[in-house]
Amino acid sequence: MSIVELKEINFIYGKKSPYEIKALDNVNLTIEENCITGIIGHTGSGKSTLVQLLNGLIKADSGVVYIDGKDIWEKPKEISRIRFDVGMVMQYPEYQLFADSVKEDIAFGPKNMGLSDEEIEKRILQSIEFCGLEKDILDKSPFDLSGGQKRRVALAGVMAMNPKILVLDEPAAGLDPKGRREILGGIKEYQRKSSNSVVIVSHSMEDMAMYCDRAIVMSHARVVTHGTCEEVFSQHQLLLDVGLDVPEITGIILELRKKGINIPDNIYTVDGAVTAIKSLYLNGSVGGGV
Amino acid sequence: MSNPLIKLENVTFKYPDSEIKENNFAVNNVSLEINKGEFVAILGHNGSGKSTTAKLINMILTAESGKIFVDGKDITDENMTEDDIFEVRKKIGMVFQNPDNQIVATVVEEDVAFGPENLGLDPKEIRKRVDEALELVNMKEYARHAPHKLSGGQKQRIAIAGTIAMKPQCIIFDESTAMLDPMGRKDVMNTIKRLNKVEGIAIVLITHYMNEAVQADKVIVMKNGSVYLEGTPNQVFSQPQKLWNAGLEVPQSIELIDKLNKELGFDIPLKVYALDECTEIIKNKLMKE
Repeated sequence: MSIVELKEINFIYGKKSPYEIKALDNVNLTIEENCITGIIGHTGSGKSTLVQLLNGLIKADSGVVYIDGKDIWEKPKEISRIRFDVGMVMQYPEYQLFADSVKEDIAFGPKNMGLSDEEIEKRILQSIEFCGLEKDILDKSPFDLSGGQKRRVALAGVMAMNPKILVLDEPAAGLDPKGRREILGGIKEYQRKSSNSVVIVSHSMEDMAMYCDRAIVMSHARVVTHGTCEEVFSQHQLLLDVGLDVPEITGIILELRKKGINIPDNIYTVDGAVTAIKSLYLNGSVGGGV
Repeated sequence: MSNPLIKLENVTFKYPDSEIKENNFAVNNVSLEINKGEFVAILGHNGSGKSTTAKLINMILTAESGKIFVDGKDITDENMTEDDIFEVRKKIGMVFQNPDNQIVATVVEEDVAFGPENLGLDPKEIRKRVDEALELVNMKEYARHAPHKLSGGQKQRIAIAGTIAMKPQCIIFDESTAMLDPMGRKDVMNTIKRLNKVEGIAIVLITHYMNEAVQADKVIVMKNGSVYLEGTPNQVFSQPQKLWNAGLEVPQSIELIDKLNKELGFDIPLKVYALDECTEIIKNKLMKE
């Protein structure tokens, strides 16, 4: 089942000015529910424009955005309600923190949804757990935290709204490898436990291969391919052609194939590579031309 | 061997106003050296002290204790004048993470000219330096463009050109590729390597990308404010467990070899391999030669 459907979407920046730029060019796309979908593409490919359409931050020049089967612009005056269904975590969300305590900051979204205090309390505790934060952080000022902690608090604030779709724009940008693993791992755990849909925009092919179930590749305002990670990452030439890269490990596998080793070409994690090489080694069916 | 270009001796620094950093040194007893023309990568978890160290070197911050020498001059000396500080910043250029925070003008070539203009150079010399700098970063055809209409990688290269135009002996890149897409990152890395190899400018590359660090002459790993590991890329990346302990990772090629060694009893040395080398070794193992 799909949770998002985009039909013939066109979006133009600076319309009728000399600087007119087509950011989305007749985009048709569905995003599956209950999984993590990665959106990848070079700078300026239209990724960010695409995600901003999902919660009605911007409106397409033409085309329809369906969330859960409903046209989000059916009643334009009620567009703000869609933001309870589609939670958005922007790049560097730590700059959006504003409350006196972490607890109040996380509670802001759920409060605006009109939830009971009891329910809000429950959701705060749940969401800090997904984000790897301890309870004692709740009474602290968000401005006394480290950059990585602030990022998690901002993320927890959106998770606490329990949106049907959680959209994250470069959630791990600027974090060290451990921080990346923790935050992306927490997002994955949130998805698995809540069964909500998650959409992640990122430049890191390695991260996408590791944490996403499905992937969408954008280039020059169009969707050039989409499918399961396996389907997408196996189209190496296409990825290179649109200015992206394959994960380093996939590069190694492809080189081995060039050297006549009969190894599957749909490997994009280190563990996948270890399993495949192990099986070749133990079965002795290396095959190939040499 | 001449004196190192940059030398830190037991340098310590603590941020004064932050509650959580009480008794917590951002930089704790750090000693290191960067030679003329050397390419050094600094790795470390968030908050390990990488950026603070960089800011101490070009005097954005002042060390609490310890000594820092730039080109032989003690910059922690209390008698440093404004002019002396200016001299240090002329020698050590800096490029930050977000080029938007560093670009000041509305036309590319005017932005690149900003530094040299402030050095009080002759207009002819400025023209020459701007042209050379744009040439070096392959952005000459954009000289009259507006910076905000360029891609992230292009903007970053403009920021680099602005630094080069001041003819520094060393450029510190503080996560300058973090916001770029894979293509933009490659462009900027190629520019950095050219500046180092062809122009002989010393490079300090602060990064979270291990595959950028493997291209350096020397790698310094920081952890909790101190130097944790130091050596050639081969020496550093042959210790995956230590890097994992420091919250970092190793390139996927080394992780693969480490796991194959453990699971299949291979004895492939852990070091930085070029793609061809790495695959050749695995192929030979598989062929049982």
